[in-house]
Amino acid sequence: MSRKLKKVTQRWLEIERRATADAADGTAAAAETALSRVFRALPMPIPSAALANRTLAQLGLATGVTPPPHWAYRWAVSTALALSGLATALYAPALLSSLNSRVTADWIVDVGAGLLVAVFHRLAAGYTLWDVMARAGATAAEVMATPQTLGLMLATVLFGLATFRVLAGLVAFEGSSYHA
Amino acid sequence: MPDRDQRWVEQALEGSQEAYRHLLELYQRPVFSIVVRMVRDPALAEDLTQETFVKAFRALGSFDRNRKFSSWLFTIAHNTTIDHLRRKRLPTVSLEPAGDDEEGGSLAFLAVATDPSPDQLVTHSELAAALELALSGLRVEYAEVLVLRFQQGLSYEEISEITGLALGTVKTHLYRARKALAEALESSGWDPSAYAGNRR
Repeated sequence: MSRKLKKVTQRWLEIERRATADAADGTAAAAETALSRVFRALPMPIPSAALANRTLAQLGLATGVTPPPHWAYRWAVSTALALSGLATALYAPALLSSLNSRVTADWIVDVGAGLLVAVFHRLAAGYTLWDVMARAGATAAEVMATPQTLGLMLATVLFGLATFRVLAGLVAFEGSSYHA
Repeated sequence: MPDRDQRWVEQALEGSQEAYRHLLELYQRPVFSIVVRMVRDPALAEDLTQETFVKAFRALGSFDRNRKFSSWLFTIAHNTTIDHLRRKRLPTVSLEPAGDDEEGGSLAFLAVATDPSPDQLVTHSELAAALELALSGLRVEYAEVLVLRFQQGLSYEEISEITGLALGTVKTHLYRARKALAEALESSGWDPSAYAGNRR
């Protein structure tokens, strides 16, 4: 970079010595082109790494942007999702075999509807489908943790309902005659 | 407005913190580079850069979508910096061409001392430092138009919009700023003929 900077600076200074204020003779345009090459070769000043975080921290207070939810809320949501996932994994075969069960059917509808609402909301906000798929896990957590719009709030409710239904279904399952 | 900026602005208006962070990371360095060359103090430039983004994001709801986001942001940076300079009248910010005995302020991001001798600059090839020092010695408005035009690649019209200067004044400032920068660089010891001589 040092050698390139020297080269373009030399070129610019040579042109600048001949450049006039008359735009018609082309020397001013040539000098500007040469100087733009100098600036492109010149390292841009870099602010400290802390500047972005300081600014975002101030924005959280100044603009009213929804701050991250309380840690207890996030833990509760994460735990509920984890239990739901665990229950599904443990009882999936039995659940699938009882697809005519109203509880199971409702759960599948709730989870599916919640996912569809979250996906469509993201697509409407400008995310590509790839973005949504790649961030599926983060999207699900974000849906539950930051319900900032009606669409996301609805998805949150559906996910919560699905979790409740799974737990309710487990209780009913244990006391039912579904055991082999 | 470029599609990517439009998408991020829309998401920021919906309250997406990720969008705010993305816009901040995208424009933090350009805004800082403009401001630091106007105030010649990196710590102060960071404060003013922060103030710029806070003002911009607070006023994002009133942003005209038909306008370039970058131009709008740079306008806020310009106004914020000029307001600060007028209030403080900092000695490190000269609105007159720097004299021979003025150092132009400390520029911490430079790799060399702020007062290198011409021989030291040429010998050690610290051309980048010499250019930054030459920039720091220019009038604030000259340094600003140079950065906007040659680093950010903005048109005369965009610079006129950002700085509030008439189009003709922008062109005049650019011409004089170029000449002043070349003169400052050569007077610091950098000379094309000397460089050509070194290459032989």
